[in-house]
Amino acid sequence: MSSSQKERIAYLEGAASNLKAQTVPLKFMVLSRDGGAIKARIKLLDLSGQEVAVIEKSWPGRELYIDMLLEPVRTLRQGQAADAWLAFPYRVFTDEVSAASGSLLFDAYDTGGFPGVLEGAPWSSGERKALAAAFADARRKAAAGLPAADASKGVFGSAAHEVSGISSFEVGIVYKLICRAKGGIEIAEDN
Amino acid sequence: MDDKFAALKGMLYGLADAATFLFTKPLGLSILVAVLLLGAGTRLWTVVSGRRLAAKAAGEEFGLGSAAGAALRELVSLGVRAGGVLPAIAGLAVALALLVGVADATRAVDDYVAGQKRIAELSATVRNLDRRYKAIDVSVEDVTDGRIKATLSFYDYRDPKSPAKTQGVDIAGKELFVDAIVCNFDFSEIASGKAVNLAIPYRVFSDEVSESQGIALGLFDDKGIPLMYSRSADELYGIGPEVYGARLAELMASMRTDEAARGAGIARSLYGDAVHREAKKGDSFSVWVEQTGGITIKDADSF
Repeated sequence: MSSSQKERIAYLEGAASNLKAQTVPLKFMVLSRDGGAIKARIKLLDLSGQEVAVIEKSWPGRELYIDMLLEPVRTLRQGQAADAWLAFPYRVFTDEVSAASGSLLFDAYDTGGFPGVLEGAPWSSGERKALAAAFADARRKAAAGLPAADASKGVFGSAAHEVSGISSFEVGIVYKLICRAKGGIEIAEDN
Repeated sequence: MDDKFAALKGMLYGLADAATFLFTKPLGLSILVAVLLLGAGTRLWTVVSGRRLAAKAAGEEFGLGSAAGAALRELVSLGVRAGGVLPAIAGLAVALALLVGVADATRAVDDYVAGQKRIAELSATVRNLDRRYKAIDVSVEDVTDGRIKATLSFYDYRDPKSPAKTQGVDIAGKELFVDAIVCNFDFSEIASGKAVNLAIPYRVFSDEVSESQGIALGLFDDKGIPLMYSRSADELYGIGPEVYGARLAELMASMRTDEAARGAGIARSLYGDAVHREAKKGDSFSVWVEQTGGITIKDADSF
């Protein structure tokens, strides 16, 4: 392990304490479903709930997928269970648009190299540097058409989605995507 | 005592159902009117026939006018007699209404008790699943020429030491997605405010193959229950294996439609969740269902 990797891990260890039990990095609303396409508005939020960016777009398909990248934060050696998970909004795709052809979200919340969705917490400069490095790493891979869910680092993706005939996002209803610090994401109506 | 009470209830329900049918349903009313008309017709026929025989015996003529007169008189007589028994008919109507009311009230109590029993059984079923558990082991055997070859292992928790089933997948792409239907029960009646999360993994796809073109997973037993929810009788607490199986089937069925899940008041949220990771030759990872909500991927050696 290089010294820069050790430094990054050391800073990410501190990140766990800045994460609440659950965060809501994005909310979304399906605006319409016409002609086999889904139009949706997605609002990206920082840790304090402030709006970072708004994306409005249409994708062909019937089931909307909102993909998150979950990066483990460990205080123990690699291979141990993560203490917390950092959540980065990754991309949007559908049942007809493959993930590789989906719309990447990283650019929308890039605030000078730092992931805007993680603003709103008292990060130290070292922690900010480590988070920016993790963000840059994911962006670089995604931009090169490679999976950002890097197996060697225990990173994985989690795409919450509707399931035709079982569960669908209703037009005009605001949904929130909840990310648990202990792992796992959930979609619920934003009441 | 219970048998006698059940027999009494059966009789009560039978009488109430018959009364409701006869006095409120079109077919029942039609039958009632038909019976009354038949009775009156028979009575008139008997009276007219008797008079004709009497007239014949007396050597008198008994024409159409005489028959009509006799029938009319009998009809008036029937009306007068019916008027005489009106208080009894009214009393019978009140008694039947009371009978139907008592039967309905008893049924409502029965439904409530059955509902409470069902909720208690569903609660016991979910309590037996109230922990995080591994759903699938994934072993990536090869990633060449843009294709992923992997083996998925599914576990039956009655014997979790070795996989109950395995399934090989060969799919184009660089990233493997395991898709599941996830149902969160927290804040619901059966979960009593506790987070309970069930997931049914059902499909595999990749970054290059969309979900609609994915591969279905065969991790269900012959009753349509995902293998990882199977429990041995020794493991179950607060519920028998047969009731557990029946209620689990009910839960699984309710997860197959959002309307059913919400209609039954047992689900807070129902959605799909596809967890994914870069596929690397020799990599192994596990898909876990977390009780905090959602599903996760963990390295195979993390636990």
